[in-house]
Amino acid sequence: MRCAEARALAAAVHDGEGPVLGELRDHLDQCSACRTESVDLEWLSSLLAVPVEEPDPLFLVRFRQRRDELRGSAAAWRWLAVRLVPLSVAAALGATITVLLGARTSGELRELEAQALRSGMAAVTTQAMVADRVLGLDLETLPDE
Amino acid sequence: MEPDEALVAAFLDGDESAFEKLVDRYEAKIRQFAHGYLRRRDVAEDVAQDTFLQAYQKLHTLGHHVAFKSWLYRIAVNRCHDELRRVGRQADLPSEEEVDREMRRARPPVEGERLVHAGEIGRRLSHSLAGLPKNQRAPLLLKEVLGMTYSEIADLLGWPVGTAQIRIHRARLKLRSELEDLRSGEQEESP
Repeated sequence: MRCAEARALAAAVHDGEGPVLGELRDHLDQCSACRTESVDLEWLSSLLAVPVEEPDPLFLVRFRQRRDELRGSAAAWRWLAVRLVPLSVAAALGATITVLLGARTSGELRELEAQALRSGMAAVTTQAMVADRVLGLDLETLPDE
Repeated sequence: MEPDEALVAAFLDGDESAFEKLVDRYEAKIRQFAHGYLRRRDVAEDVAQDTFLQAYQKLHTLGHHVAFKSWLYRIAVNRCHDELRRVGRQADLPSEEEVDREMRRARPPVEGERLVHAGEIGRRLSHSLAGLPKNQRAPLLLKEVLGMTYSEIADLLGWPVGTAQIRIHRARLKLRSELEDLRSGEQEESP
C-alpha cells in the first residue's frame, strides 16, 4: 500500500467512515511518517473538540424574549408606516407639483427672453440696412477680400 | 417524536409552539457548533439565538424539498462566519484566562507550566481556525465538533461527498502545519 492511499484510508478510519484494513495496519506499523500523521489526526481532533452541550431550558426563555422584542419593533414600524405613508405621499405630490409649476414659470420666462432677443436683433438689422442705404453701400456687390 | 416537517407545517399554520419544539430539539447542537467555530461560549450563545431568530423569520421561504435540519445548520454556518468576519482575526480573540478555562473544561486538568502551554495552544488554534477559508472551516468543524458524516456534510453544504472529504483533509493539513511547533513542544514535555 502506498503512503497516499494509506493516509486517505487512515483519515477515513479516524472519521469513522472506513473499515480498518489489515493492509492499512501493516503499512502504519512499517511507515513512521504515516503513523505520525495518523497520530496527528488524533491530536488535532482533541484540540478542536468542545464539550458536548446539554439542553438548556433557559435558551428557549431567552429566545422567546428576543422573538417578542422583534415582534414589538415590527409592530412599531407597522404603526408608523400606516400613519406616515399617506403624509409621505402627500408631500411627494406637493413637491412634484411645485417643481412642475416652477418649470412652467421659468419656461414662460425663457419664451419672453427669446421674444425680446428676436425684437432686439430685428432692430439692429433694420438699422444696418438704413446705414447701408445712407452710405451708398451694396453689401451684395462688394468684392470678396 | 414529531418529524421536523410536521412541526414546520404546524408553525406555518400559526402554531408558535411548533417552532419552540424545533428550538428545543436543535439548540444544544447549534450552540455546540457555534462554540467550536468561534471558540467562545458566550458569543456562541448569541449566535445560536440569532440563528433561531433568522429561522423564525424566514421559515416561510423553506422549500418543500429542503430538510429543516440542513437549512438550520446552513444558517448557523453563515451566522458564525459573519461573526468571525465581524471581529476579525486579531480583535476580540479569547483572553488567556478564557482559553485556560475552556481547555480545562474540554480536557482533564493539567498542572504547572502546562496550563500556560494549553492557553497558548488555544490562542493559536483560534487564530489558525479564523485563517482557514470558509469552505474548509465549516466542513472541518461540522465533522470535528458535531461528528457529522461526509455524506451529511456534503448534503448540508450542497457539495459532492468527495469535495467535502478533500476540503476537510486540506483544512487539517493547514492547521497541522501552522500548529506543528506546538505539537513538538508537547512531545518534548511528555515524560
